Amino acid sequence: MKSRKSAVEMQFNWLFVMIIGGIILVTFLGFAMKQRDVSEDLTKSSIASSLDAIISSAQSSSGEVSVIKVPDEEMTFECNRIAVGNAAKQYENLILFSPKTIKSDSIITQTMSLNIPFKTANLLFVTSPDVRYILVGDFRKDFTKWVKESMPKEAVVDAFYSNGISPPPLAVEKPFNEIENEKHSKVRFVVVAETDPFSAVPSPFQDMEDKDVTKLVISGNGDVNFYRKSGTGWAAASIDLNPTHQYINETVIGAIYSDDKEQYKCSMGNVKKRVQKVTDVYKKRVVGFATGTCGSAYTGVDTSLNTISSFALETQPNIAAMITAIRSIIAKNKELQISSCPLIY
Amino acid sequence: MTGKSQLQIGEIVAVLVVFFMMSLIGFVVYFSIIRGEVQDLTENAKSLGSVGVVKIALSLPELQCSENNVVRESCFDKAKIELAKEDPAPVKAYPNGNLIFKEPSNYYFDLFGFSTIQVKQVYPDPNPPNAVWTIYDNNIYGTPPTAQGSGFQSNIPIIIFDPGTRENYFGVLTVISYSR
Repeated sequence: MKSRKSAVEMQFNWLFVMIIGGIILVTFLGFAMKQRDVSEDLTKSSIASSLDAIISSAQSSSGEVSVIKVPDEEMTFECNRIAVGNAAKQYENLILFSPKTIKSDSIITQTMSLNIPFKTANLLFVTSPDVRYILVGDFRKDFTKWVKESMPKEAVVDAFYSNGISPPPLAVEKPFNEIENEKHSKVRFVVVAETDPFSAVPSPFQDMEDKDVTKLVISGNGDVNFYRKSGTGWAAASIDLNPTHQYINETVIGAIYSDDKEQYKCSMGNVKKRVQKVTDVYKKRVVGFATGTCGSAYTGVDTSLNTISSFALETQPNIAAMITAIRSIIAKNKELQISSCPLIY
Repeated sequence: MTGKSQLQIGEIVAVLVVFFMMSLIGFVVYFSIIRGEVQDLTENAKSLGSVGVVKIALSLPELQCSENNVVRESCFDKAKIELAKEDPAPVKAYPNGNLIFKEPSNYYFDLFGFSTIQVKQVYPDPNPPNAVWTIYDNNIYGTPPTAQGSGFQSNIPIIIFDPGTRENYFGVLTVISYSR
């Protein structure tokens, strides 16, 4: 009888210990898992905050290139929005050109001032060492050479010449048909030439996922056309820019970094708003000078500033007229300097 | 159940009570440390936010001094900041200055967030004296911009350049950043 009773006591003790042990285990496991989730959210939030700090910094400095170490999480760049997992930051007017997604342990940022001719904005470009940019064109031409030299040394940029250029390229330059796949996670072909040599995706890149291979064709008149790999060919995604006029050089660099045409259009919309805001300040400022002793020296400046300001209002701005207006303001500024009058910019 | 086994269960319960109490104390200490760290981080973020707004304000083309696109550091163009007076419908009116960036569209919110930015000429004494240009005001507490509220204030010495007379004045840029 006693042994049966002690057996029941033993079983009760074990049951009690197991229940309490289970509760303790579940409590601590739950706590640890919660901490893990919190830590992951914190990491993502910290990346989003870092990107926000980079954007803020970019707004106050231009002509800088930085390589920044980041946790290896996927970052998504959309119209006026940056997201890292659940952590996202929304903006009103974000001027940022980048691939739609970046997953790398470091990012490369570049800032470039947009001067028309006065400084209006700092353009922020973001990419990663996992993205390879393959430039194809004749690099003895001013614009093509400028495009190549504008890309940072920290980014993976390879230049090849396209066929049929005259005079023949330098011996050190390689033809476009010698391009090899160096196993980067994303590849962007950038053709700066009258004719596009890539009617199909080059064979070394045909096995890559469609979303990871894109192409930008910058024609001689500055028109930019976006393409995405579709099987062994290209699916066009033409953009509503004026095809008959040259585009602003700095924004062409933006098109190289943006592999998504919608994101590019969105950032360009924000650039236009910025141009209008700053130009309006200069317009009002010049009105103040025009009433002084130098008044007559400012004749025609308002017309030129209005032309620049209209860049923001039109869906297909007349870039040729804008360039003429920019040149006119540069000339006028020189005249004002010689006459010791307040400068326009 | 015998008295001995009841005593054993009592011991276990006592051990568990002590264990849970110690765990509870551990949690309280842990979370109080974490809370302290979070408060420090928040303070740092506030000061960094304020410094960020100062940096952006100093480099904004709408305010900056430049000659042939050569930018002068820590310098505001008087002709640009005086544009405030031409603002046809400022959201609020201030006795010594007006707003130039406060707009219904909140275009500048990305750059300045919840903050108040003022420029004050300090030398030579301006006419009228104590000239203050409030160039942005988005105070979440709704207090007048001259009040600090619970914001973090940064004062930066600047030059105010008058392009008409080519004269330079000393001034102070005051940025008050607010956070909840």
